[in-house]
Amino acid sequence: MIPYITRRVAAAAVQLIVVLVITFGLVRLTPGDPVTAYLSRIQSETSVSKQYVEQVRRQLGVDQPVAVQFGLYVGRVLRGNLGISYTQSEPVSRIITSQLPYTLQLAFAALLIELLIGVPLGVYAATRRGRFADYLATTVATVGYSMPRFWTGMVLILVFAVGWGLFPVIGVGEPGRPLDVLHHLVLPALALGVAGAAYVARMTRSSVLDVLGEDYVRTARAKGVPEPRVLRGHALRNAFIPILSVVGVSFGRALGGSAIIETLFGRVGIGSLLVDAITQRDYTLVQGTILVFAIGVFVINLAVDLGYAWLNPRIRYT
Amino acid sequence: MRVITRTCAVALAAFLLGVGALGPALGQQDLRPAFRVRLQFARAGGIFDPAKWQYTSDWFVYPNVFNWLLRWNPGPDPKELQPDLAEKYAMSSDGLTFTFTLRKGVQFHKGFGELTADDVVFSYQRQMDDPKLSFYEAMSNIKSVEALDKYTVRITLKERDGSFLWTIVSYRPGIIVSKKAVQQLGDGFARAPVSTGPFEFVSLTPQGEVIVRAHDAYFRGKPSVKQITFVHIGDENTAAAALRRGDVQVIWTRGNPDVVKLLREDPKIHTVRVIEYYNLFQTQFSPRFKPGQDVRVRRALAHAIDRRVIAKALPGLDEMADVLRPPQLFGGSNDVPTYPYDVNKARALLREAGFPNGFPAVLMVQNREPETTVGEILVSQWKAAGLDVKIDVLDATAAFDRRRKGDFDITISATARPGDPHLFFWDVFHSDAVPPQGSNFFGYRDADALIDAGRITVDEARRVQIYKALQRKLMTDLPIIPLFYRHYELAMTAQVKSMQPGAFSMFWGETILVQR
Repeated sequence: MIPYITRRVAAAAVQLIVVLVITFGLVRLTPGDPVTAYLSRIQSETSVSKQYVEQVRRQLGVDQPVAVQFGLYVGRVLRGNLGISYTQSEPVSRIITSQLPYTLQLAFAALLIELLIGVPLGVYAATRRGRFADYLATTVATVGYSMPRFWTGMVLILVFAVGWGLFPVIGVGEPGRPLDVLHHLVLPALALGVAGAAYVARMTRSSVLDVLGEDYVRTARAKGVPEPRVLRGHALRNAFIPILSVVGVSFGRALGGSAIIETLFGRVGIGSLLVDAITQRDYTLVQGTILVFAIGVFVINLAVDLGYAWLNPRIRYT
Repeated sequence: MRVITRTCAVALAAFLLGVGALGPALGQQDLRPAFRVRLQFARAGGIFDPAKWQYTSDWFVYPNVFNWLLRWNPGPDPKELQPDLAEKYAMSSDGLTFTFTLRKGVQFHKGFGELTADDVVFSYQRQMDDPKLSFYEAMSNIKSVEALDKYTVRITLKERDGSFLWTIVSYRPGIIVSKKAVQQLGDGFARAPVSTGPFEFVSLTPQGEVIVRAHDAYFRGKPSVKQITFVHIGDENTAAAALRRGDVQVIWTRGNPDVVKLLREDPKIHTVRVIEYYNLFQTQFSPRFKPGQDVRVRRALAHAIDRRVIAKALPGLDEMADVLRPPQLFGGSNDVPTYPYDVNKARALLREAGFPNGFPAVLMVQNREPETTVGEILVSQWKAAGLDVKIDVLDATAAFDRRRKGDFDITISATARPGDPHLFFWDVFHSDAVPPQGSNFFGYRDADALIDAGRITVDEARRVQIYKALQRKLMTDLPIIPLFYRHYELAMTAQVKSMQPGAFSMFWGETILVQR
């Protein structure tokens, strides 16, 4: 297994370099630069001199040719230094470290909701194939999958926060008070997780249906094993292997979706940080945040792959 | 019996002592509410050293923590200067020297002592000496700042500036900080500022919230709120929902019509409409856009705009601007040529200018309200006048980048310059204010003499005459077409009895009155 992990990490390093190059190029292809963004923020309110603009340009290092900027950036990243944020004048790594826990909290909570809703719904639909319950569950899953997260979030806010007053609309809760944090997490995690739950439900249904048609399930039934035991002992364990692969995808989607949900619920996190960084052309912060997103997706996918072996000992890593 | 008596006596003494000890504690218990307020309109930039200011969102917090020598009156229209840290001032007859007499006994936050003339000199001098600071350029007309004694400061200018008190002393460059705190904290001062305002800075939390706490030794008296937490809420609908649920007590909206309607209909919320007459939205023309060089074309486009349609689509924008600076502001005038809606006249002017069949043009707007809606209305109205106009919606930075390079035909831009008229007229119309220095995107250069005269004249009556003449010229030449003044809706929960809305992104926490 060690050589397998080593190969995966090496491949991921190459992928991360590609991500880095693409991100570096893309942010510079968008019109405007950090200085323009800075001026656009202040110039409707105050005037600045040409000298000041040039000084800001020098300070931010964007007066250098792009190739030089890239060389300097790669050099820094290889030394583990993500640079200084143009807009916050703080090390990018420190900013991301302070915001990442909130996004991970949200992404894992959303993943949990996806699994807690999606898996039972998928199993329920599969075991009642062709019946009303199956059509109902499938319809619910399709509707859930089709709802934009922003819209789901707004509906949740209006019903559960404003209407019934059960949950707060904004914020992340007070650190050190787990119940408060949880209270603030419910609605955003639901908004982020509902669409994913629908996806998981559909995958679970089809996976369970596949397994239920296998010879060993038929044999178990022929031997008179009770249906719940057939399901638990034979079908589900094998059906979970493809479902596990969905977890990796879902986590990536949850991380990506955090940008919208964090903005909607006034939460801090690297999702809303990325949105602000793009708007303000904070190159170093955009690059650093996307790099962290990419690393997060890689780590979770590696964990999923390793989880295969635990669920199915027949799988061997070569 | 004696034991019982003794025990009772001891118990009573202990009780009385206990109550005695608790009494002051109970008496000191702060019953004032703590409020949460929406930070206007972006995440905190986190720079709370005024000399290093960069972000409007941070500026929102400043008036609560800092003071000036003189300040604008709280309220949406800054029409007068009030004594702040200076209880009085005198200007020399040549208009070059200003002498300020400080209030005595003004205390800095966190035990940094009493404010003296040294702190004022330091606050100005550091900005005059360091080109890296934000207002180095703005301070360039100051020759010297001296402490005449512990409570008297003299500022001498290099040349006369009629706008000096409004643009420097009572505006962004003129904030006073504690010399001792800046020297002691160094760069850390930007995250732990010390001044004399009604609230002392507590922290910028990792969640991006800015917390300030009542400064009970504030020279105007104790604030009625014990703590204010400024929170960033990006989405207008979310902000309205948070207010209705009571997660925050005060929000500003950009005037999104749906949100405003929702808040106005909620009996638990009270709203105040704020019109910033100094915050003018306008159409500007690129110097590269050939048809725009002809004044008849610009007048035709102005005549083709039916402002009533805009007001109907965006309630709140019904204070339409057909002048550059309305008479309710100092130096404003409506004694100028105007261009009322008349599509036939617009067509006639286009024919006269050699465009009987109109011309193609692109209107570039920023992707936020109300610009996008107003942009769509303008496109349809200019089409009705015979033009082939398209709309191009861009994010703020991209739009600004293209404006700066002149890479557009027509655009909608905003210029907010409260206080003295010089700021606005210089920024939009002076030939030195072409990008990146200012917002004269058109490159207009025919009114420099009047603009400069307005600045160096110190007699107010004379200045008013100069600005009247200037506005007549500008509205005749029409390098820009004024559209509307910025409108905000300030909304509060029932806990807030009243509050003065701030001019120009200012939040006056000290003006909050609490509903008991």
